Amino acid sequence: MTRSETRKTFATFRVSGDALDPDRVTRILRHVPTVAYAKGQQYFAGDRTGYLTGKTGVWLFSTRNVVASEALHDHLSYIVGLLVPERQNITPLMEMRALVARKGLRAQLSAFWHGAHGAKHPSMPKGVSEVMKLLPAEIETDFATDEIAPERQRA
Amino acid sequence: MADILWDRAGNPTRYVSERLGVEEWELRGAIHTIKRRSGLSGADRVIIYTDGKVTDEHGEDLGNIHDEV
Repeated sequence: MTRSETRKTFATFRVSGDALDPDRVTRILRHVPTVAYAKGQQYFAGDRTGYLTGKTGVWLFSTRNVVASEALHDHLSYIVGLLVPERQNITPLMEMRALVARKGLRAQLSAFWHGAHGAKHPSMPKGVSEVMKLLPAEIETDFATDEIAPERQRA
Repeated sequence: MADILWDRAGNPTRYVSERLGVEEWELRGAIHTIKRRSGLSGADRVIIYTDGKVTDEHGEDLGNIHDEV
């Protein structure tokens, strides 16, 4: 797959649940979330929508406006780095594992990729799956391509 | 009052992105972002309106496509 075949790619790590304390996750992962709210708390959903009330708690970090790469692997690596910042440092991963189990939370990694018509979908690196299994976090892939080729779009 | 543009499960067709005046990848990325931010998963059905508004299947506001592109 050449890079020019990728229209957009990013990855999202999310922890959710009614008992979620978003600040606790921020302290463990030491990253400012893209969006975070507790159940019943208001959050900003955009200029046209305004503020909405969270039906459950959500802590979410997206690489969308953070990682400048057309390679999904780079986005996934960044997410893994939240949990395992250094080779010998798995403290955030272990603390998140304990928190998820204790509070009955749900962790999820979502990979988004959109390519040109006919482009080959990317694959999920084994190392990423193994780290997510330790949490445990579900992995969701959202891969698709343009419906028609550019030359037909111009016709 | 905006009309419903898409209310089926799965990825919206190119017709929807054309009606909203955005690229296919922009529309898919926006829906992906809105769903994850709202605590939904990819399998959850959303409704897209002609003004870009996105609601869940019960009509609860989730966001707007034009805020995410």
